[in-house]
Amino acid sequence: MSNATLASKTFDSSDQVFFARLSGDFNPIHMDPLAARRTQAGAAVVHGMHAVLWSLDRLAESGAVKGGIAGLKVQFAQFIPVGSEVGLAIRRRDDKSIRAELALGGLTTTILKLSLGKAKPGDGSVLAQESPETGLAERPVELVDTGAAAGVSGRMDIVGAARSAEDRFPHAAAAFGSERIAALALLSRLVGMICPGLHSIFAAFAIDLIETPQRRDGLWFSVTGTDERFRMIRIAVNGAGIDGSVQAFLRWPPVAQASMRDIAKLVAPAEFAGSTALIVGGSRGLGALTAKVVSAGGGKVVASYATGRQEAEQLAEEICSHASQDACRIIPYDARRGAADQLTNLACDPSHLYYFATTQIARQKEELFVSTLFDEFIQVYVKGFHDCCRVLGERTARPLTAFYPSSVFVEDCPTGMAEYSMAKIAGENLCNSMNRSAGRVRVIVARLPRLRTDQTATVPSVESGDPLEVMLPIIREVQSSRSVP
Amino acid sequence: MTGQEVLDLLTRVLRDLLENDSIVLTTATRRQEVPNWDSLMYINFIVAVEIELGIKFKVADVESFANVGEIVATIRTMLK
Repeated sequence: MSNATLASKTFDSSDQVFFARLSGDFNPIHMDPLAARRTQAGAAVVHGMHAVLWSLDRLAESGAVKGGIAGLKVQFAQFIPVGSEVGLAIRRRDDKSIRAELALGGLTTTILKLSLGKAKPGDGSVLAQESPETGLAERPVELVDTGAAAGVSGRMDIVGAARSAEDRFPHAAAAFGSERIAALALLSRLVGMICPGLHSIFAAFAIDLIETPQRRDGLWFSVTGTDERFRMIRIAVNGAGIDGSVQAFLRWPPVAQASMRDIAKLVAPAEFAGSTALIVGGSRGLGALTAKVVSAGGGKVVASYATGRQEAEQLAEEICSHASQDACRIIPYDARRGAADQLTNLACDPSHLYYFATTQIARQKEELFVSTLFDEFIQVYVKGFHDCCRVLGERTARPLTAFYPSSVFVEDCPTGMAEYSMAKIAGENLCNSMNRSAGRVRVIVARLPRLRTDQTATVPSVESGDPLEVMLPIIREVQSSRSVP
Repeated sequence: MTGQEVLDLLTRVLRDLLENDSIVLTTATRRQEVPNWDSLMYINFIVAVEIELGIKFKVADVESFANVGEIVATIRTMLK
């Protein structure tokens, strides 16, 4: 047994493009950083199967798999963000199997178990040969529930992928056979583009190697079961020398907040007239919701975005088309940078500040406390807030009411959330100090419960509150305090 | 099944899932204490136990289990 790292690799954007072309898996979670940030991954991530094939290539190159391979079982435990380095290590090896792991720092991302021995004789397929050909697609299928997956079946052609697979993974191709390596690559396309498609998480697969396959040129698949409780889908796969099953989850799609039309039913048209709100982090989630509520009540809104310009533009379009042409403007603003330069061209003096600047909250961690993560949270939730208030307070004689969204997590500190909870407590203390001072900025703090946003969408689902129901009374409190000097 | 028998079964299922024979579950074990037993692996574990025992958990139960002991207790109730 050895725990030494056998090889390491950093998957970059060119690797992403290569594997997308090889496998046909162009799912945005791998290829579009902006779209990926609205998924559970929070950023573009490596195709799990790419990492597996690279691992098999390294294992084969090392001579570890001499003597034949009978099967492969893989669990995808954690996402691998693009640009991060993973290390491959053999954890256990005996006459019958090899257990290897890919790890990011000390965090296991992928568990591989290779069964040693001979491939099974015969084709062994039970899948219907008349299944329709499933061609390459530019956009993934978008299933909304697991029921829609029932009965999905088809065939993917592996001929195009086999040559590229052999070139890129020559050692694995020699050990497994190039058709089998291509077939494994296509499992990525199966999950990411076909079923469940757009909102998928590839969880695991297990395959046996089949000797002298009669059907070398294609991979057949058929959904064999779904579990609505956990949004889980099982798919049988067969062909090109492999026979086995794939397990995937159907992620929740990005959370859409209430529309202007719905909000207008709950807010009086002139309820917030005369106010101007700067909403930092206003392009999505609670920030976007607040922008809609304020403008539905007749207030003017400046919504900022850090990376999601397109989302901010869509928000402004929705607000302006419902309220007035000047009801909402958007500005770029990054809470990790100084506020003074970024607010120089702000064409108004806000009466209110809503500070929803955030970074990805739930993180994959290998340690109880990660100081760099704490620093990142402090920058966004404490330093960034103070700097923004300071600059706004200095540029106008008008009193400013600021809203600071804290979290119930400061009370119960869920497992793995120490850094976030600590930063929010620090933010609350800052707000208390600001309120005790004689400054122009008055801060209203609320500990928000877990609400339905992109940040809280998980598989399995966790009960989350309705954002509008929670935020509306808070916004009314903040807006009503604008006359306080 | 006795509580210990259920516990042994859960240990076997989890060891198989995580490919880790060093795992030893007790009634006090919390998911966060077992390396790699994350939320998706937890679902895999629950489903594997269901198949093994021919039972079906309620989602609310699955979300509320605070430790392995609560899973054992629920299984024993379901098997009565």
